Amino acid sequence: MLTILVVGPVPAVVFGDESPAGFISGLAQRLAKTGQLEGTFEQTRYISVLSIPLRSSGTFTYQRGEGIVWRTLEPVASVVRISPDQGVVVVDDRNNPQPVPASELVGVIFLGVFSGDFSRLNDYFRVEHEQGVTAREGDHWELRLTPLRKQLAEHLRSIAIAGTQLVESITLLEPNGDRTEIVFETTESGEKFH
Amino acid sequence: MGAMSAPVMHRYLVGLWLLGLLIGGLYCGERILRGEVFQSNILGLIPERDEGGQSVYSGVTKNFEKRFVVMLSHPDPHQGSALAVALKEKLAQQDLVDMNGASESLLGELRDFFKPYRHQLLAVETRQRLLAQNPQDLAASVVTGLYSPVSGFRLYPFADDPFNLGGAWFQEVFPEAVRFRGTEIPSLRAEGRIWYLIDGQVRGSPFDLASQQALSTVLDDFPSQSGTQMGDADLLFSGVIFHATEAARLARSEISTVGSGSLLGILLLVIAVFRSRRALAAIAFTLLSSVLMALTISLLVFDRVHLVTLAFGTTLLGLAVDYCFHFLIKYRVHGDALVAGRLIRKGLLISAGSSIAAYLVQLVSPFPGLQQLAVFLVAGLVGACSAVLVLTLCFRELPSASLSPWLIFFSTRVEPAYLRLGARRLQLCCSLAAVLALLAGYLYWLGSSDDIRHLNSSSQSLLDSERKVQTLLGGIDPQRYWVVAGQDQQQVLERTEKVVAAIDDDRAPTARLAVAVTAMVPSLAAQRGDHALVASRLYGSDGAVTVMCVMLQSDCSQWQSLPGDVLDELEPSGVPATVAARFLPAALTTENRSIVLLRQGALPAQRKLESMAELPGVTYVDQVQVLSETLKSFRIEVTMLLAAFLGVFSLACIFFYGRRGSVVLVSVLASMFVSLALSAAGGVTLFHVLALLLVLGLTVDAAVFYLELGLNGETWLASTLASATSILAFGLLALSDVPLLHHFGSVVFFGLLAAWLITPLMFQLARGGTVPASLGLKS
Repeated sequence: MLTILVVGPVPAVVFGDESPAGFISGLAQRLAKTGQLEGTFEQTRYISVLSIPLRSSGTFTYQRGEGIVWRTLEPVASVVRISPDQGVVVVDDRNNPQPVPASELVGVIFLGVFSGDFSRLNDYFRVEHEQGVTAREGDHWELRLTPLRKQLAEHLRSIAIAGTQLVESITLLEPNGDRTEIVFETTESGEKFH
Repeated sequence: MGAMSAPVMHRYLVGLWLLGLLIGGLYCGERILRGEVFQSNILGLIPERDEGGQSVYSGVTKNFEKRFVVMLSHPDPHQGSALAVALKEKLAQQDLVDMNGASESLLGELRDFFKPYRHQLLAVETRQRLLAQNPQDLAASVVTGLYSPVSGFRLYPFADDPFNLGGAWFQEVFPEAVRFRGTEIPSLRAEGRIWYLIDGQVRGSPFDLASQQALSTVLDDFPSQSGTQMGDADLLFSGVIFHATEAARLARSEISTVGSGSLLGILLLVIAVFRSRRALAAIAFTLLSSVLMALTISLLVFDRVHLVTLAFGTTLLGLAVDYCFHFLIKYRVHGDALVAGRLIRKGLLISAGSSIAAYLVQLVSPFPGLQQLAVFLVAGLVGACSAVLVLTLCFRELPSASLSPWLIFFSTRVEPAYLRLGARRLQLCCSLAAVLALLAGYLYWLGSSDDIRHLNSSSQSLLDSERKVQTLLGGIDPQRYWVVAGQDQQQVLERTEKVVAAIDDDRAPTARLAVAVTAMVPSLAAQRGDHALVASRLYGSDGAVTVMCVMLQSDCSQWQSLPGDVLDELEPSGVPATVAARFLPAALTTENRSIVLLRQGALPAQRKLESMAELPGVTYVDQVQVLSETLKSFRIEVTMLLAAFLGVFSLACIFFYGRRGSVVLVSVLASMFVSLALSAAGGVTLFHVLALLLVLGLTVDAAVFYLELGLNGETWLASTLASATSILAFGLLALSDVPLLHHFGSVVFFGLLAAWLITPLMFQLARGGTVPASLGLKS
């Protein structure tokens, strides 16, 4: 159901509670304060049947309450808009929104991560903090999202979200070994909006 | 009851009757305790018709009627999910309920089965695109999707199906499935809320009380067991079983209300008029005999008794007690049961006979419910009549209060009023003729109403809930469909494709109405056509795959062997039963027949319906229309029967009573016109006409006693008491929320009221200012 998933850059935080649950809870609280984000991304897809990886790049904007606009600029231009009201739509050349069938989950994940509403992600994934390095030390951290249900697991083995001060990369692993890596660079972020 | 002083023969007869009652009581008790005696399916009242493929109708109906859907929403999705899980677990614990499990295994089975055929099964939209677009555009579309963050639903991995033919095909077959979120309990978002889907089937008929109990016990208790969490939750219900449960509850409640109301009314009247425990015992004996006889015979004749029959049958209490009133009043006047019995016997037999004849007419009606009702009422009247005859053999009462106050009321108030009216004979006759003419005109203007939907007794909230679920889930209309017949399966499939094309050809892919097996398994000709299209447009040497590989800078050796040869073996009969069961048109397809269903809420234009009627082997079935037409034809049939019965009855009246018979006839006709005009504001239905048979019987009852016993205080009092109890019973029935019972109740209520007022007046008018002995009137 899910072929590619991207998650926007988010500020990493310093947390008092180092337990996995406490880390995730603290991260979610921090993300919930994010009002707007802008940046660029580079996406690389590794598909086993293709000789070379597919690389694309573009920009994204996020605004709380309104959603995300994801613009792929190279090599093929496209615009995807994800909003709480309309779900996931592809905006065509004439600026008409075309709903994407079976994209409810993608919308939930996008908006869940950007808005810090992990409760919605918990409907689909087991969200775990990869132990090793902690945010308190200001070093690398990583979250792993594993599908709860077989139906989703048949399409997506896991999602890894990694970062330091900001989320720096997202990796999606499919059951057949295909994977998608997205690297972010945030150019502007803020807690207030409008 | 004084049986000891009666002759030996009388004692034997009384003993025999009591033994019969005991046996009847034991039989009924045993059947009721064994269960499955009552049914509540409103369609059980309507005959089955062999039109438009009855077996298909049964298949569609049975498939739909067992399904149920509960949708739950909570402002907090987490709580909503937890509540939905808890509710599903509770329902799954019920023996008579099967909950639909997760769809993973089904999806896996479907994916595996159809994978070899993925290049010969195309969605309509895909087919149109392949025909309309060039290879460059087709390839660009795929490449754009690969670079886009979202690309929608895929049934097979990119490596196996780069153009996602399988995903598009699946979405066309199961458009609702892809709307659901893959949460523990499937859910979907609509109007800003998340709705959790809890669905399943009942194992038995939804009209079985046990099935209803299994579901309603959980749903009724769930809000209280879930505590405060349920406070903000909304529940929606969809399924025949919820309507059946509501109808059964309504019927039970009305049986209780009408039965209690009738009994209470009878009790109060007996206490007020007779002031005697023995009189009360005689009434109770008559009622018991009547009800036991009715139930015993009904259970002997029919497997199950409909709850509507029982609800309507409770009015029998009002009828059965009439005969006993006549007997008790004559007993009070003459002080001897045998004498009283002799006096009322002829009137009793004529009265009961005419009522029974009126009910027996219903036996020729093809309505199972009405046949049952006729048997129930005829048996009950026979029971009541026999009980009164038994009473004439054994009843003895201690000296008790006189009926004088009531008789004096007649002579001082009622009789003078009728005399005064009788003095204006000409004016009254003219007025009556004018009123009857006006009522006839009014009835003509009202016309008839045969829409089966008017018999639906479901509450507005349940109907709203049903509509909302249909909106959320995009359901299929089980009432309107096409039956497509053919000599073999391929002919059936090809004809089915023509019907689908005729319905949907000018519609956008998202607005298609038809749901047919060919969406899942097209005809072999169509499969070959689609395979050829895929082979040339996508995988040919200059097809889209070549262009795509250039764009992706890959050699694409993986796809060089695609699409392979067409597989000439996929037919509906080969689809695994578990998969076909989830797609109704596939489940109902046979070697020689398929059905084309429509999505809820829309109908093709009339011209399309007409054009499709010309296609070979195609029959359009509109169950609402078929059932409404059935009602209409039976209304006409019963009206003709009633007219014929009236004709025979008129001849019998004149033959047996001469000129006096015309008084009975005018009373009957006036009562029938008045009752129909006052109760059929929405148009005359079959059930209004059937109720006229009761009015006829009851009016004749009253008139025959006046004929036989004379217009005097005693007869008037007995007639008044009899009318009062029946008016009470039918008046309560007129307040029923079950349309059928309401129609019956209101017609009989107004009919009785009119008969009670009009019949003595007719006798008064007939005799003029004097008291002719020929009319049997006593002053």
